[in-house]
Amino acid sequence: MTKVKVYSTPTCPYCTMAKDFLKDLDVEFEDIDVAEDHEAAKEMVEKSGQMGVPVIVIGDEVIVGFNKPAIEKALEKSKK
Amino acid sequence: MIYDVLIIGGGAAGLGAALYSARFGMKTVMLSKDFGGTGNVAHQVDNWIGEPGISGMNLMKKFINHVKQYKVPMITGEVMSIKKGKSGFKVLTKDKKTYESKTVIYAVGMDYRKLKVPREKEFEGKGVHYCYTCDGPLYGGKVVGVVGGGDSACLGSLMLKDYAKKVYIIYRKDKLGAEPITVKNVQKEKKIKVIYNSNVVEIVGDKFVTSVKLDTGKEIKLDGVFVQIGHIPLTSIAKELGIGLDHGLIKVDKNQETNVNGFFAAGDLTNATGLKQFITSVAEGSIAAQGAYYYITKQ
Repeated sequence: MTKVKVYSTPTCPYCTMAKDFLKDLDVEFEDIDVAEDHEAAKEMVEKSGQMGVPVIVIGDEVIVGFNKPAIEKALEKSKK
Repeated sequence: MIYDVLIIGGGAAGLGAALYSARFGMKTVMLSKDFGGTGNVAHQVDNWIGEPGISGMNLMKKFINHVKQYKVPMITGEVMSIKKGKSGFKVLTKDKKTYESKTVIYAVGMDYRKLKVPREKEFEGKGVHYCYTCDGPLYGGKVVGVVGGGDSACLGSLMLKDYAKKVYIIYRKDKLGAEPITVKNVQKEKKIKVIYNSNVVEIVGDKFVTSVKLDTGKEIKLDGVFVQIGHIPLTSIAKELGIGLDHGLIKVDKNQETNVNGFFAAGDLTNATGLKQFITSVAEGSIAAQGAYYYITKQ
């Protein structure tokens, strides 16, 4: 099973939408609050090259923002 | 299937329209890129009567759950075109699906207005942000700027001061334009400094933003800048249908109907009122639903 990580902030509506979307798809994920966890925030910036949330990591794919088609595509790819 | 009402947009106006359309007993469907709209982004809502202090996200969840009780289908999709035929409207989405409806309530709202200064685009997400509730918490202990002086800018500053060590409000006028109660709250805050009579003319940085240059010649060192200078109505698809505009906003009558019969508009993108709030959006949505009901029953 490919590891899925969601870097988010508690007040970010698009983060909540992304997490709800993954839950609807029954995809397990690690939810990382980058407002609290500064090391994780640094890791997110290194991985995505930017400071906007959400950042969704599915296997090798790094998706910035709540982008449904990109999430679906990355999940599909991770199954292969 | 031909719907009675097709609502395009999932924000406060669209959800208000959906609730009333369903209660009028009309066959209703919602089509939107996402549900909750820009209302989702409000950090704290103090002017929705009965729910003081609720977050925009939680308020919109309540709206969505309320509409769901009426089993209105909420379809995620992006509209590409709307065509009017003899029996109503044909709406085509990006994923090539077609929906038919006797009436349309167009409530897609607005998009963030950009600064349009050099290097803004290059630094998007790298110090230039538009959603303070999303990205604000990443600026813990840092210095941020907010461009603008209206409700969004002032409310954004009040949220950002909980994280950042310093918040500059950079505003082109000599007086803040937010609700007086919000202006008072901003002025009370020691962490917030307002720089009046100034416009950002350039974003400066290397990999990330390091400062902004102002038209006064000053350069403000900061780690992030949140642009809150208003919104642009998303009217392009409606314009293709020949919908009349008034100063860039969709022109509507007292029933929220446009110049195209059966095509209604509601929310931030109409000229119905200058007060762009949750309550006015919901109100416009509900009036549009009643307008659609009159339209259908008189046909």
